Amino acid sequence: MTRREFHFALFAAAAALSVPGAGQEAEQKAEDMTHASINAWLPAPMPPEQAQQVAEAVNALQKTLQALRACPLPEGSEPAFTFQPLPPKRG
Amino acid sequence: MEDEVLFLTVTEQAKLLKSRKVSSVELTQAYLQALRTQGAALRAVAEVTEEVALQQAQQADREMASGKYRGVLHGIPYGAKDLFATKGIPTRWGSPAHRDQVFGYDATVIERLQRAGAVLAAKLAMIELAGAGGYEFAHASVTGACLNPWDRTRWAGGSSSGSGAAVAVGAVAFALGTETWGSITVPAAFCGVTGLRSTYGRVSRYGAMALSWTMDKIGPMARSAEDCAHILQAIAGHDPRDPSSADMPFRYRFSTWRNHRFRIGLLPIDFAKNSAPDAQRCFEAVLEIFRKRKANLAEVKLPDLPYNEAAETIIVAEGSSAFENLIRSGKVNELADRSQVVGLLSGLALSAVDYLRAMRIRAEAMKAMAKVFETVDALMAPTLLQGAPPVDRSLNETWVNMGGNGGFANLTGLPSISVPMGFTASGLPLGLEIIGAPYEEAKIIALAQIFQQETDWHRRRPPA
Repeated sequence: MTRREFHFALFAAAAALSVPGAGQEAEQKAEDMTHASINAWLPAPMPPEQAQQVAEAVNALQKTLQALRACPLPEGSEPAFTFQPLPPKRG
Repeated sequence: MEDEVLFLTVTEQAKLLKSRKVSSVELTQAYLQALRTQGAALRAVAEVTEEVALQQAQQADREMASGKYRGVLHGIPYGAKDLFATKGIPTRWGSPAHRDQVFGYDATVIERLQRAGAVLAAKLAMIELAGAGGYEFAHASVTGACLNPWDRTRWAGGSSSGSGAAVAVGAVAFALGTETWGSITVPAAFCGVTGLRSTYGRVSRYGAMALSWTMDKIGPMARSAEDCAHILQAIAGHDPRDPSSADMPFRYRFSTWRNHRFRIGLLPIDFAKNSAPDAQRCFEAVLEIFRKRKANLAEVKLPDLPYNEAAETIIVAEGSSAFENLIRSGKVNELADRSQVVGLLSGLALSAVDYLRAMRIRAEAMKAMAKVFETVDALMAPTLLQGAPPVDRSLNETWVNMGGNGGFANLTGLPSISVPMGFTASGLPLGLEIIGAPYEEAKIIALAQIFQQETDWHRRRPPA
């Protein structure tokens, strides 16, 4: 899936949510996108039972992520790592 | 050799070795026997390294006989958690998917212990991949569930399961463990031994399996805080092969701290709400000891930040990345615990922006903790509020009212020591955790040593 397709699918899912009764369909689309993104790493797609367990785990992580996103951060605050370019060895 | 010798501290054994009352070969043979019997019965052992051990013990005896003494660890047998590379010896990471893994080099900590004259007697059992994806059962290991020496229907704790159990049962003089979140302090508390988690970056991680590059820390597990100081001194220090290792030398002298008036911050704990009368009883006795030593004790409230959530997010992202090859090969499905597999796969869905948010929160948390430590020398609380859970049930059911202080402390790279502080009514060990500011291991070791001078919990032995 290209970046453009991914964004289109995201917007489509969001639009679908605004249609009465379409929430379940949107959730399914989001779950399918998650499975697709995970399956892209794997030598073979996840079997259905495993895919279901993974979907549940991803959902469970949402609560954690909500707590993180709710935490106010100073504008532009930096992550706790630094990047130091590696100089070459000179003779 | 008398059984009692195996339960002496490293410091005490060193005196026997130096005075030639006991040889390293005798001590090593006794520990090898204990590893093959007690250690094996507890499933604490991944591999007994007999050939290497006897070679190193013979060398130690030759050197000491010729007057060459390397220090307190010279000739002392130890076990290494089976995620440290040991040249030519299997290093299985506790994982069925890595049964045949052998590295052609030693981890830095193994090299440093060899230089100190210590004797590698065994690779010790662990939870597979140190619990990378999260695990539900104690048997999440290629060696099966590691049993608690105090009650073999209970778990030894993890992920440094074998390290905790082997020290407790007198199968090694000390062990090396690692901690991402709880993996030294939990088995130390459950097994009734002393475990020191060093400051992030204090000890080189070169040659140690990576679970979470910014959360993994290495530390000793032994029978006393003083022993932990000697071991940390041998393994700490910058290593050019690990860019995250700090150039911060570690030196410890108890006399520096013996009469220090410590300021101790007490983490707020609701013992009643957590049904923890035994932990409360033991902890109150701890506080009494420090009051008598004129320590300044005061409750400390930590700044309100999502420490646990940030730590979890970082581990999820870094764990799935660290084991990317395992996932991409499909061999992840060989792991013993289904929850591990699901956890590692689901981590692939975590967004970079969420990971970076967790890292930004980490930066704020570090500033917040630095402020807290301007007012205290150390923080103190029970390591956990309950004894070890049953070994054969889901941790989702049994890990209830456990408490724990690992979130904020591991997120911000703080050192911590867990020492035995008593027992539950049913005879299971409970631990006291002392958490320090970054690079202030000396203070927390001193506090632990003061406590161990006043009590004998660290001397107790599991039932035969």
